[in-house]
Amino acid sequence: MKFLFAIALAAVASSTNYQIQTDSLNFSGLPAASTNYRTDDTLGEVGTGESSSVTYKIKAGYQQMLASSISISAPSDLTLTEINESAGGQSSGSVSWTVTTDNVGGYTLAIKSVTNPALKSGANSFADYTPSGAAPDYTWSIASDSVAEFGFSITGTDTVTRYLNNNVVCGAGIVTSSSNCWDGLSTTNRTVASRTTANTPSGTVTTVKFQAEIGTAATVVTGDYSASITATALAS
Amino acid sequence: MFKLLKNYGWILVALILILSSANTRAATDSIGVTLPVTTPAGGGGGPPDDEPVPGCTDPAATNYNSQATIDNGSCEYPMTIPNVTNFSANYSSAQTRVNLTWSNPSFAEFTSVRVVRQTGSIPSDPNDGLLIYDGAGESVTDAMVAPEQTYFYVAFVRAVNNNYSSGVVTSVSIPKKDEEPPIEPPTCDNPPCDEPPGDEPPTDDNDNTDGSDNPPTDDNDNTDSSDNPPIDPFTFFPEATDPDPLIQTFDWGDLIFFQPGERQHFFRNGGIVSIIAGKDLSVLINYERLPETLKTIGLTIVNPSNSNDSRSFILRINDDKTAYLANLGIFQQNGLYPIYVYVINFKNQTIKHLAGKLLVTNGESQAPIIVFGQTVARVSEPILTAVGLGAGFSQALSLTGQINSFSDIYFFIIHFWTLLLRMFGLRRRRVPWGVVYDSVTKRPLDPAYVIAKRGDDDTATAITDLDGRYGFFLPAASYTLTANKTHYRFPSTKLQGKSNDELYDHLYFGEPFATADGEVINRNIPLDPVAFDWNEFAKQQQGFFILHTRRERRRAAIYNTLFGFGLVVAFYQLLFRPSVINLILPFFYAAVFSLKYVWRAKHPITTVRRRGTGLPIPFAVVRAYIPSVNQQVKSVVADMMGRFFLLTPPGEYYITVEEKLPDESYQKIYQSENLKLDKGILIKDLVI
Repeated sequence: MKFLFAIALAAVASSTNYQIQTDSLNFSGLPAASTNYRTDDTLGEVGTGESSSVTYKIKAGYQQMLASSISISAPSDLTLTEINESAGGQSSGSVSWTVTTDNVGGYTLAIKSVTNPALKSGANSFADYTPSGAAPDYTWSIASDSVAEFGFSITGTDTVTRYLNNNVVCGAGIVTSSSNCWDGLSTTNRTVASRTTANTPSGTVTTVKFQAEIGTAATVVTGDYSASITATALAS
Repeated sequence: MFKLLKNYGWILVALILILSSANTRAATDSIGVTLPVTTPAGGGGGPPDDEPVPGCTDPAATNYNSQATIDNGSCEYPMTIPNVTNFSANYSSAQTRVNLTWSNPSFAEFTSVRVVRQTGSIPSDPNDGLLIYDGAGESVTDAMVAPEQTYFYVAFVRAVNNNYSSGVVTSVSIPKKDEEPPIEPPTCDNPPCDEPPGDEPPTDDNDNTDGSDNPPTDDNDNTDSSDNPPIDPFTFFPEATDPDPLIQTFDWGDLIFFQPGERQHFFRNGGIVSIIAGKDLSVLINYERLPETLKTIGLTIVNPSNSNDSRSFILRINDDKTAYLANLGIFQQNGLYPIYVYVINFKNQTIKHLAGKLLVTNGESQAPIIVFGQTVARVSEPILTAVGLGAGFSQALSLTGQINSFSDIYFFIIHFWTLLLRMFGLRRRRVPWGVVYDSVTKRPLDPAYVIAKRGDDDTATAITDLDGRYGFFLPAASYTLTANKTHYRFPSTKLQGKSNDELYDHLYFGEPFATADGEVINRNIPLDPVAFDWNEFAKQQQGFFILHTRRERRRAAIYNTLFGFGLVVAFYQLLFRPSVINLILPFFYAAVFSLKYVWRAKHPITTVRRRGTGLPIPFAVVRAYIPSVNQQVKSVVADMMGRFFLLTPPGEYYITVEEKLPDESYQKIYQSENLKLDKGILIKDLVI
């Protein structure tokens, strides 16, 4: 970092409340935006660009430093094993997203469903899983035998506290388990993972385990139920 | 930087300061999750977004609707030919014969009953095995039986169209004889056999009779084994594993029970299928749900009020090969009937065995009552007795002890029992070890160093284990013990002079004592805490006491549940089986129930714990201050479970809580509003 600042003839500054991550001393440069595009330019810098060796990678120039990148993998769609409507039962499956960012502030990963409730088949649907309290349920438990519900749990090194457990309850501890801390989806983003540092180049995997259950006394119309889940990784 | 700007501000300089938050980037991805929901019959199949089409989705039904996507219970099934009832086989050792009896069904198209027999397997149809009887009678005697053989009989009812019922099974095992029984043709009662056995294959496929003419000698002459309870004939066959997915996935959901004019009934996992009493009941399994290689599907239903009374049936393939069917007859008696299904292959191995319950009621609304009533009838007596006794003991013990929860009753019962044993000299020691423990928290202490001295000599030493236990086995002599642990004082002054406390007895305070030959030194040694003990705190941090808390909660939940259930049973018995004892027992419960709240009201135990998790804050310092002068008037330290008892002069106070930190310092984490403690006792828990 110091090496880059030297090239830009600049330095960082900080106070109790603020921190200037990168600055540049040049003759021009402005952020500009239109309806479809946005640009941040800095004029007057020399020796800019990206250089790398086996061991190091240099991003020279002010905008190089500011232009943090973030990417998210695109896992395949998930098809859960079928559930016999008359017998009821559970079905579950997992999807893993890998988020990679060189943003020094890290990232947050949130998921949401497109529909409410999430798992639907035409006019028929599974209820979104509802934890018994504010925190996710440590163990999966549907409201009653006469309902069908759909929820998820989170595992991964960047899992947020809400989905961590102490082997007793969720929202506390350091343990992640795909079998614990069950929550329901909603149409608003629910943060499931976050970190405060860059994680290039390997990225971090966060696994979402989806689970559906038809209660033994529930009446569910047969058919293929589907949910559309959006995962958003945000550099912070 | 700012100096530079100031000095060279007229030069074209642009300083772009963009905080990292202003440069946010995002990446998104969307996936689809799909869950197929199916019916056991494989019905439905319409496009998922279509509106559901109600109808009969069972291909085996006579009104199957291929367009239906949701089964509305309207399926109708072909009438099945009723089976005979009360079909039983009893071996008469006096006659060395098997007497078969049954009752013919009341069926307009009834013509006759055909009974066939196999050895080692179950006849699968009316022509499988040795013909024993064919006629309209209701009994037959099978004399062609050999010792140490198990015979399987199936009775089929023939209708006027020459179709047969599914078949009822019974079996009999012939006991070992000194001599072989004679081989005689079966003899028919009135009316005589319509078809003599000679028209059929002369022997069973596996008939091991040797045709000896010597009559057997019966060890039980003139006795008849007709009182022998019927056995489930399908249990004769060994169980085996079949990897066929159809077998692996076959379960109760594949059985469809139907009655004329009623919705079909499905078993659900862990549930009970409910049928209507007084209506002919049939059961059906779709043909595609089982492989064709199996030989027999058997079903046995047990009388709920007499486990020795059972009916066994076979499910046979119907003519159009769409289903396995059986007519189970009419159930007149309401109740919860245990039911078992067996799938048997051609090797006579049971490759699937299911067990469930069949609920027979006069209507759906009675189902819970019958289940509850039958359950109560089965278990009420022993539970009522046990819980009633427990309540009685508890009441007696509560007069001398401290009860904070029903779970404490357990300890008092144990204590009371021990006292009784000691009173009668039947028991001297509770356990073969002593415990070194904290006199305040009652927590076992480890490691504590225990020394047994004989005079001034150290005779033996021991280190207590995690549960604070130690023990010495020394020659008979006079000894003294000392127990040492950092931050603890021996002997205890807090319990000085006491022989026992709430949890421990036979307490020791340093006095010399004599032992006899063979006696184990296992006195319980209380130690007084004199300073904060890091080891004990570390154990708390590692969850030892969290586990203890959970265990205590579970135990309390169990005992409260047992007490509640016992209370319900006691009142049930009082209502439906009034007697003197059933009148008295509810009063025991009422007494214990009242005692709990009276005791709590007079002896409040408050706790300091965390909001949300409910976990206690151990060793927290709770202080009471007078608001007007901020003067502390009282401070107490919570125990490991966060429990404390704060007694102050009546007045207004505010309460503070300080949490013990790992570095042994305290941090204030809570201050209450001003509280009026009219009785000078804080009775509300502090939830932080």
